[in-house]
Order: sequence, then C-alpha cells, then structure tokens
Amino acid sequence: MFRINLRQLGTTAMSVAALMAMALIAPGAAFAQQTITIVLPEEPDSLDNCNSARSAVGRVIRQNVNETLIELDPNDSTLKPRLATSWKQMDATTWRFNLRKGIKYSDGTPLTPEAISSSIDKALNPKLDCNARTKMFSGFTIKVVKVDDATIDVVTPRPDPILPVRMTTMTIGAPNEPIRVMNSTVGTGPYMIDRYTANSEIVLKRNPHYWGKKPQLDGARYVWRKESAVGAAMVKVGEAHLATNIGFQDATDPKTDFPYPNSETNYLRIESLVPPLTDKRVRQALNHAVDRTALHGSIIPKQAMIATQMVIPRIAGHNHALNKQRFEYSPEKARKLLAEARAAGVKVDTPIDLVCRINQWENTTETCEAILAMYTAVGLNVKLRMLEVSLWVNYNTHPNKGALTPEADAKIKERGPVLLGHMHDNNVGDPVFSMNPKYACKAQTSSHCIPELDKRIQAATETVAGPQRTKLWEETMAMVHENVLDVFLFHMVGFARVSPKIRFVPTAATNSEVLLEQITFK
Amino acid sequence: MLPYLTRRAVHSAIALLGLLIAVFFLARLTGDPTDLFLPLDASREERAEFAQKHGYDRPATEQFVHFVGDVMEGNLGFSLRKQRPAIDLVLEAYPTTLKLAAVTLLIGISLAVFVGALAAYRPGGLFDRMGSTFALVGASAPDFWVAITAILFFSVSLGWLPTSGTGGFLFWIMPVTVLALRPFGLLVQVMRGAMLDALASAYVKTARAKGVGESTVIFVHALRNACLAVVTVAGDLAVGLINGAVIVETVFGWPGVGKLMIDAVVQRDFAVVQASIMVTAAAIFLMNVLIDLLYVALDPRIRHQ
Repeated sequence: MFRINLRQLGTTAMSVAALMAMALIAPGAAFAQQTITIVLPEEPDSLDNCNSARSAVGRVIRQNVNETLIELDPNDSTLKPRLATSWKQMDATTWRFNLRKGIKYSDGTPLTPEAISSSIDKALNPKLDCNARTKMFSGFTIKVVKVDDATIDVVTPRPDPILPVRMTTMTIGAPNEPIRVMNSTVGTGPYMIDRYTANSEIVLKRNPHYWGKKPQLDGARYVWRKESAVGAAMVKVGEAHLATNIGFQDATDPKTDFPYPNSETNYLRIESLVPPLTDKRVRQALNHAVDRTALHGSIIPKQAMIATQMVIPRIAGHNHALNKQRFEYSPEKARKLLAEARAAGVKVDTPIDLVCRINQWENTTETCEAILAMYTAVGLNVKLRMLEVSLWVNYNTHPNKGALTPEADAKIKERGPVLLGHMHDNNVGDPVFSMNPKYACKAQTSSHCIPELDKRIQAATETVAGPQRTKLWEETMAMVHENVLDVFLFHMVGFARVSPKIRFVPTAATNSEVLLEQITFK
Repeated sequence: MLPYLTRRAVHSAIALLGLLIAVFFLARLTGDPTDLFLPLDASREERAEFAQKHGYDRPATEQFVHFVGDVMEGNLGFSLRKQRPAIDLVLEAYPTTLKLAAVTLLIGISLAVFVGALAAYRPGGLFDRMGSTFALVGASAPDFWVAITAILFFSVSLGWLPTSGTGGFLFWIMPVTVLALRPFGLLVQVMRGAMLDALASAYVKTARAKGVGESTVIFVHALRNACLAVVTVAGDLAVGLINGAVIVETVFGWPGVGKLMIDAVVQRDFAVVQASIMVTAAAIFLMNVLIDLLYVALDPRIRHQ
C-alpha cells in the first residue's frame, strides 16, 4: 500500500520551492559581480559597426567592440591615439596614419592595412546605407593606401583639413565582413559580443586578444526601456547599474543622477530670406521677447546653459565673448524694434508660423507654448504648429536651396515666414559640422544667405586645425550673432543615473558611446 | 461546419486584401522614410539616391504592384531599420503578445465572471457595490499611469516585484495585472447586467419552482446564458489584445508586436507595418472563428440555426 512519508513530502516541497525561487530570480542576478547591466533608451537597430555613428548602435559597440583609429576626448575635444599611434598631413589630400603594432581582432586575426581598407570601403559603400557615410563622409569618398604593414595613407579627393576629426567616428570592423551584419560584429576593442537576443538583451564579454590595459569589468549586459522612469527605477532597485538617458523629471536624486552636457543646442531657426524676417529689427525683437531665464530651471533643466551660438563651449571655435553679449529679455525693447520696423514699412503683422517638433527635447511643447505666449505679448502674430518628425522635416529642408526652380520658389512663398524649433547636435568637436549645414548659402538645411558669412565659413572649412581655424570659426559665430540669424535658447544637458556601486562619470560623449573600460566597481 | 469555415475564410481574405491596400497607400501618405532614415543634414542628392535605391521615388501604384508580386512569392519585404525580413521580426514578437494576451484574458474573464455573477446575485449589496466600484475604476484608469505607479510602488518602494523585463512568474504579475484591469472592469459590468437579466428570466423562475438548488440555478442555468454576452465583449477585447498591448509592452519592456508595430509606424518601416498587419489580421480571423465555435458550444440554439 502506498504511504505518504511526511518528511519526504516536506523535503520535496522545500526542493520544489527552492527551484521555483531560483527560477524567479531576475536574469541579471546570474551575472558575476564584475559584470554590469546598462539600461539604454532604445534597442540598437543592428550591431553593424558601419552604423556606429548612430547613437543607439554606438552606445554598445563604439570603442568597446569596434575601435577607431583616433579617439575624440569628450572633455576638451582633443584627439587621442587609439588604433593609430600618430598621424600627420603629407600633402593637401593625403593623411598618414601610423598603426599600433601587434593588434588582433577578437577572433585572433591580425589588424592589417588591408583589413582597415576593407572595413572603410564597406562603411562608405554607396550601395549600403551606413550611418558612417551619411553622417560624416557625405559627398566624398576616401581611399586607404598601404605604405607598409604598420602605416597607411588616407587619400581624399579634395583637401580635408579635418580628416582626423572625421576618422574619430569611423569604427574599424573585421576584413571582408558580410554586407549586412545584424547580430554580431568583430572588432579589436576590449570586449566582444557574447550574445545578442533580439528584442531582449545584448551581452558583451572580454576580448582575450585586446591590446590595451585589461579593464576591470568582465562584461556588460545591455537592456532597453523606452520609459525613462523605468530605467531610473531599475538602477534605484539594483536591477541595473547605469541608465544612460533618464528624463529631467526622473533625475531626482543628486547622489545618483548626474547631468552631462550632451552637445545639443536648441534654438529657433529664423527664415531670414522671407519677409518680415528679412528685417534685422524684427529678428532682434524675436530675441529680446524670449525670457530664457524663466524657462531655465522650470521646463528646461537648470544645468543647461543659455546659448548664444550654435556650438557648445568645449568646441574649438565657440566664441566665448558672445556669452556676455546675449540678448536680454526686454519686451519693451522688442515692441520698440517692431514699431520702428513697422514705421519703415515692414509688414510686421504678417502671420509667422512657429513650427516645433513633438518631443524633440524634453518639454518641447511647453517650451514652444511659452515662447508663443512671449511673442504674442509683444504684439507679434505668431501661430504654433506642433508637428511629428516626418512633417517637421519638410520645413527643415529649405526648398529654394540647391535647386532654384520656379516650383521651389513658389513653395517657399506659399509657406510664408517660419520660425523652426530645432535642436542641433555636434558631438564631433568641429564647427564645420554645424556652420556649413546651418548657414552656408547653398546648404539645403540653411535658411540664410549672407555672402560675407558664406566666405568666412568657406575659409574656416579649408583651414587646417589650429589657432587660425579656431579664430575663423569664432568670427563666423560673431557674424551670426551680429546678423541675428537665429533665436538661440539653450546648450542642453542629459542625465544619467549611476548606481552607487560603480564609478562612472558621464561626459558629452555618453549620448553616443559608453566606454566600459572607464567603468569600475567601488 | 466546413462550409461555414470556408465562407468565413473567403470573407476574411477579401477583408485582408482591402486592409492591405488601405494600409499600403495610407502608410505612404504619412511621409517618405528617407527623411527619417538619413541624417537631417543629408543632401538632396543623397536623399534622391536613397529613395531610388528603395523604390520610394516610384509612383505608389507601381510600388504596390511590386509589393503584391513579392507577397505572391511569399516575400513580405525587408525591414529598412533592422535590415532583416519583416516577417521574421513579426513572428519573433508575436509569441510574447499572444502569451500576454492569453494569460490576461484568462485571468480577466475568470475573475470578471465570478465577481459579476456574485454582484448580480444580491444587487445593491456590499459585494455588488464594492465590485462595481472596483470594476469602474479598473475600466477607467489609464494603463500608462497605472503601470508607472505600480512600478514605483511595488518595485521601488516595496521591492516586491521586478520593475520590468521578461523572466519567471514575478515578471508576469505587474504587466498582466495592469493589462487585465480594463477587460476585468468592462466584463464585470457586462456580466453583472447579463446575470441580472438571466436571474429574472422565466426559465430561472421555473427551475427554482421545480426545487433546483440555488447554486445549480446560478452556475448552471443563469451563468451559462449570461456568458454569451461576456463572450461577445471578451472577443472584442481579445482582438484588441492580440493587436498588441502597446503601452504595457513599452513600459515593461516586453518585446511584443504592438510595440514593434508602433515603432515601425513612427520610423516609416513600411515592410514591418505591412507584415505586422497581415499576421495580426490572420490572428484576428482565427480568433473570430474560435469565438463563433464557442458560441455554438455555449448556446445550442445557435447550433440548430
């Protein structure tokens, strides 16, 4: 006869309970102590190294898995050696890079000039949509020529004085990598892809062949949560060690939540080619009417900085003198300027569209609504339009640039005067990536054309990096200010929540790369 | 039964075709993915090159003919963002959505039937008032607010549950509870109303007059008939859930088809939008057939018709 043994039953029940409890433990808890969990705001589109210039991809693989020849120091925008130990310009179109010796990929194959050439060819292949090409090498190709096993020449079709800066975004992948690499990539960095579970997590582990100093962390697990509050909560309760992008409203704990300059500047782009915005007095009035200090600390983080120009202070070419000449908030002055313009025959009552993009920065809607109220208060006839990105982008591309067709002219007249709410991100460290697209006469995303400024931008673009180039950029910033071409608002900040268990200082680069080698456990 | 199913399949195929045509053209009205895929400062030439490569420069009708040809060959297109076959992305996400929907409905319906039936047994009583109030709150509370509040309370303040992610039993509690609140709230009210009608009907009075026990009257005679209304509403709710629980999937980091679809719409990843809709429409067709079969099982009168 079958008998129930109570002791056995109890033991079995305890074992089952223990197994169930083990099954219920969070997956992250299974990691060794020296492995961290990082919460990202979005899943990478792919792990293809040719897309590492895209923030979502770069945060995982840039410098961790795939390294660049040269590294940009996010704190002072200086260039540091990485895979290349040194570089110099040989002639107007040739730059020579001396490679670090003895470097191997994580699969054990050596890094050779041929491998670098193959990787760059893939990244710049026009048949692919690699972000490396579309973001940093738009409009020209480069050719890698082997000099010897440890030296390469990079040849450009036209003089490019800032090629080393561009190369800070070009991560090097394995030679002959497949055209489309989705879930893995092989590089020379301190870590390699351990596994990628689509929609769920990416895990990195040590690269046994890494050439540099062994970092403290054994690896990292990346998960993604779209809601900032959830990412912040994960760090708070110990499920994760770092949430790279939490919202202003969730950064409530000064012990764990750190602001960092994220190289973004928000501003209102003035259509200075369309009346009444052609009139400088109207543009001055637009600037004097905005109470930036009222926005600062209320709907814009107090750690942000009131902006007077397009690029952030750490970029060589930022004109520091302008920060003392910012437009004071003076509705009286704005009204007076508008009255003067009206008296001179300018149709200041023309309806102006204030076009903002939903969620372009935190509290975009609130910012644009507040500015609308400020403009209405000084007597401007402004109408706010909050648009989704695909509609907003129609305003961003200027219709009468590039193709001066009658249709394009008709389109701009039909559109009327526009103030476009915008946020510009220059995390590369040179104003060329800001001033050319925003102010050059032929740039399709510029709404201005001042010939003298155009010449100055051209001169700065062609000048080799150094004091002269910096000076020329500073002058272009001053010209933009003198001509009152935009309504600058703030140099923005991001927030990261960092677990008290680790040491990590977020920088201006945190938005686009998180170097695991700089993170240590306390 | 077979002729009926065949008829339903033909009707569904026609509806699916209409839906696909509508989605194909409406999606293209929302804008060109070129603007979203390339950097904001990309040149006109780069935009033209991108559009040409992916066929966005061709007339929408020509793109549609091309798309239909691909579908006939079993190719639902390639995701622009993920650079993978769109159908693979959808089929990877769908099990998560189905599991979440199944568990949510099972719990929501079971609890709603129980609470609704008991509430109707003594209308105006304490249980009825409490149940109805809770149901009303559940049906009205916004998912997003409940989800974030639940995370802050149960995970951050109390530390009882994981904040988000997928895993063992504990990971299911908050997403399922948040997702089940609304169906539960609606179904309790439906169940209560249907049960009140059933309890007041002639056949229930006859059963009581014949001396049938009260539990048999409630759970056999009245409940079975009242369940027809619940099945109708639950079917509708189920369709909503297998479309993807976007908010719950987003907040709790559950990689379901709702989140995939919304991301694809925002990014103008047309192939993924189309593949998601085709798979979801097929799932809804199957769900409707199941609901019809359930009707037949619950009500013999329908079977005879």
